[in-house]
Amino acid sequence: MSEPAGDHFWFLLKDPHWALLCWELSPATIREIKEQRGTTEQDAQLWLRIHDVTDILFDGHNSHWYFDVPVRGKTDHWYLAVPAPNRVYCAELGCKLEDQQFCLALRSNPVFVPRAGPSDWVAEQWANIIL
Amino acid sequence: MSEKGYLLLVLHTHQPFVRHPEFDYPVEEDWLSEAISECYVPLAEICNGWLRDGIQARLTFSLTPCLCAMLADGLRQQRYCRYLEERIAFLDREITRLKDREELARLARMQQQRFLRCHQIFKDVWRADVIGAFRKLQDCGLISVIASAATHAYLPLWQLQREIVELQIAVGIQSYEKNFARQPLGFWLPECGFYPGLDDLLQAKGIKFFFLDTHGILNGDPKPKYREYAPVLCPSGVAAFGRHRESHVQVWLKDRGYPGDPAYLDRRADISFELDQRYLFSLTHHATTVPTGISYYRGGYGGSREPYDPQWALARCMQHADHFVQQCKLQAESVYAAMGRKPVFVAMFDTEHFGHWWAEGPAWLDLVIRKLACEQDVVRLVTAEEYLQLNPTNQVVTPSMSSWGYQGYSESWLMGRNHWIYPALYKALESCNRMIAMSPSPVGLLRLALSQYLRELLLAQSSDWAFIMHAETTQSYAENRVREHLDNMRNIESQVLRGSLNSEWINSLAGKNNAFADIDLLDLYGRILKNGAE
Repeated sequence: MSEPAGDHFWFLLKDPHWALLCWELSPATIREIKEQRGTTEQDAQLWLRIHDVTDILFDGHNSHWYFDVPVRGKTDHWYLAVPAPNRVYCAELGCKLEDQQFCLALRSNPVFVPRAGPSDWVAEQWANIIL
Repeated sequence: MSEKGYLLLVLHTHQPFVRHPEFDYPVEEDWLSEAISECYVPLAEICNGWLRDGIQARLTFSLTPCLCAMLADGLRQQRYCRYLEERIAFLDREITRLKDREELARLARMQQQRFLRCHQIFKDVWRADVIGAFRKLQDCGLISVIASAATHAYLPLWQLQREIVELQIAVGIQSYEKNFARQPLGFWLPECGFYPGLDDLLQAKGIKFFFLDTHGILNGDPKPKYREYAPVLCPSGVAAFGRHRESHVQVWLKDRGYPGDPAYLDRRADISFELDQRYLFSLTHHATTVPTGISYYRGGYGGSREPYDPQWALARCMQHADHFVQQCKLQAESVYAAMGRKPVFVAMFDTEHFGHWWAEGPAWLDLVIRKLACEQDVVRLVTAEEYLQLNPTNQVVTPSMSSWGYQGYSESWLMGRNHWIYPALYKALESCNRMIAMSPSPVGLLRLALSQYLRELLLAQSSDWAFIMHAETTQSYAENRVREHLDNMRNIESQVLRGSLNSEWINSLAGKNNAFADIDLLDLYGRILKNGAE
């Protein structure tokens, strides 16, 4: 809209195997990334860190596991192959320092990826609908 | 033979909100005119036939709020009459042109009769009140009408902004109450798009049931004991019915289903593709090819250059209706024997399939309903509420996120050509929330401006735009629509922030994009925000 670019990071689900990450970085955040990288290069390399946060309140450090994806080219979105369905994921966008340490810029909303087939949980609970 | 199962037929009736008073002959307005002529009038006529003949029919319709908004709009009603009158007059010329080809002239007369009948029903019988016609059918107990989201937004992709999902639902329910003078029990989720937790929002609004594609039920947690042959109860207590795939395949698919039969009218052989555009101009008003809704050739989806033979088509329709009823009975007997409980087969279709995509669809449906109601007692026609009254005990299952779109999830509405919509509209809602926070109790022109902002946002959310971009049909129109609504929002926002509202422009915009003008959007949304904050 009419205000300058803000910080936004959305994690959207396409299906049990694919998701879309979209972001918008504010000038301040871009400056911060460049400062952290200690670089003046125009387009600092961005990285996505995808955390499996199933059944946990994610605090940035307690995910079950994570993996990193380099963002290639100048873009504001990334289609992500989801490693396994029926899990909850959260993404982080940032850059990597010389020593490969990840510097966080933005964190996305969590996304529940549905199962891709029938559940193996068999339980019979029955209820009456009240019309 | 005793009753072994149920058939629940659902016709999802929707058109995106298209209204262009700024143009004399906008092509996209024909979508609604075609739907009324080819689907709504014939379907309402067959329903009235059941009523007249005492047929115990049961049919469920969804009528989306944006469709109802167009049906109730004076300009659209007036333009629909013009659409019919132009075709009736044009077909006089066609009958003269075809005087040496009696086979085709007869078909031109038949098409003219069809438009004359639509004109008579729309103008003289319904007095332009299509919604009223469906309301009366519901009041007679023949059909059940369910509610839907305001502008047919594909809700799974808006779940990040719960407040706008709630507004889509709340406007849908208020529109239903105004149009059908009762509270809705059922809700049609646009594109059958569901995510766990959406049922809570429906439950909070008094909704008792909704419909999903098959895998939404089959992939539920825990595994549903009766597959899609019985509804499940979400943890919220709302029932979810799953689509029966076999009925869908027979009736819907062009390659394996009934509509591809060579006896049926080939809608793609529209006369606009073969006749001179200058000759057609009085009908199309454009120098390019614009479908007229008139065709003379048979061939189903296969295509042919043979003139349509209505008698042959009717004979095939009867055979296909027999086949469908026979299949329903066989499946009911076989599933009942395996399950020990009467299955419910939920057959769900876009209403446009019956009449627009498949010209003989209404006739086929008429035959199926009459056969099911009068000629057998194995399968009983029901509405969802009747089924739940008869079978209130159901398994508690959380359905899976799903849709009835391509591949069963969000791909049609989230891919390379359309994903730009979402960030733009997410930010638009954030802007709206900021403006409302700055002016919590707006009055006068500011209130009108903020209401219009919400209206523009809702209109931009229609799943149709993303779908059209995906399908690459009328892509530029869909893109322009989203961009136009975004521009309007941007303009309103900048005027609000400057504290200088252009009264003439805002009033003119509110008059043009006038969907839900009788609903206080700002009040509804304010209550949603307040409840969310508590």
